[in-house]
Amino acid sequence: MSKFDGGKKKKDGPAISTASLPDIVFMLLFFFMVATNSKDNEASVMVSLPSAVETGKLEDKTPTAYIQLGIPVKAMQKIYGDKTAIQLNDAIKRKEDIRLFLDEKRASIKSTYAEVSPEIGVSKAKQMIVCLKVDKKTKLGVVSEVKEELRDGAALKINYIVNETK
Amino acid sequence: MGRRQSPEVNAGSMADIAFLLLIFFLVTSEMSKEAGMFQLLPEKTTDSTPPKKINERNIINVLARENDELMFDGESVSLNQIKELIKERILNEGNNSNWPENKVADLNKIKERIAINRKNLEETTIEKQVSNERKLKKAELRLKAFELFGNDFKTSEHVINLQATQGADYQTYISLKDELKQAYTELRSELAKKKLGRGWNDLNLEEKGMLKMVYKENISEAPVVQ
Repeated sequence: MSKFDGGKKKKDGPAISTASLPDIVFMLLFFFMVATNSKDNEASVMVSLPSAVETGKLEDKTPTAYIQLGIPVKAMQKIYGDKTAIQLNDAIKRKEDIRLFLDEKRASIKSTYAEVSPEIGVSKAKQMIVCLKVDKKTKLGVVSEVKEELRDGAALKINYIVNETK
Repeated sequence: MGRRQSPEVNAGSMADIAFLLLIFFLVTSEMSKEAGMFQLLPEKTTDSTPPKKINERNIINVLARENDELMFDGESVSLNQIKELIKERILNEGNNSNWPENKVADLNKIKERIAINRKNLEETTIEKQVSNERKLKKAELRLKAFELFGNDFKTSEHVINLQATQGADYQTYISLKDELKQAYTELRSELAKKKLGRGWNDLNLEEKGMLKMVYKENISEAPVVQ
């Protein structure tokens, strides 16, 4: 350890290299990009998912639309009450808005494929799966009403989002 | 050994450390892995077309009610009983005339279907090529399944009618549906053990596909009842 002994001289050391600073910043950037990606829309309703064993993974390529059902968060309860509400995109909507929401989603799927080939866009829009994120305490009556709306809107492929337990 | 200058801080490894951190966060932070239970809703029918009539014996009624109560064909049961009851009904080993019909797969019908699909594929248009090819593959897989499972390849005519009352909790409903799905998986797994000597998790995709043909999931979700 004699190497480090006697370093008493108080001279100005060389400037600390900042070459790696960009790396750190980029790392932080990437981290936040990834971490916030899963929460792309703000939650207006509280959803605690039910759990199940027999589940399947979603295919990445299939287009999806999310509908969330739950009791509004505290801040929203003044406006929307404390009964189960429907969240489409990032706002609480009425169940009558579901069909409009489905049409919008389909239109946006079609427009993303419009340049490549409109036919693919049409078939992709047909394949759209509606993911239902429903709070486990929700009463089935509400869920059923939403399902009826989906049937009316010809969105027959649905997926109940659950927590996987093994 | 006195030096005039302290050595320069080596920053070369800083980037490595940064990347290590990045990878650490990526691996450890769970990005809320969501899994789903898929369900196909029945198409909205207009009043002019009457719904397809299903033989009474083939319908298995399960009902989720408020306070986690469950009913199986009109009788109150607990959640862990459901699986066995469903399996018993689907297998219907004693050929109970009130339970769903069970038929051994017909070799001629399977071959017929392959022939039809092959013909369709030859006459197909480009747009439908993919779907027709898939149909033919499915028909051929059915033949393979028949050769493999023989008389165990029984097709059950059952329909599980999954119902719920207005006030039932969503968790009750999902748990019930989960049990139903587990019943199918267990049936498939039992047959796999019997014929292939392996459990469900050790099967390849084709074998799983064949077993799914033997025990085809048929759950229909009805609207709520009062």
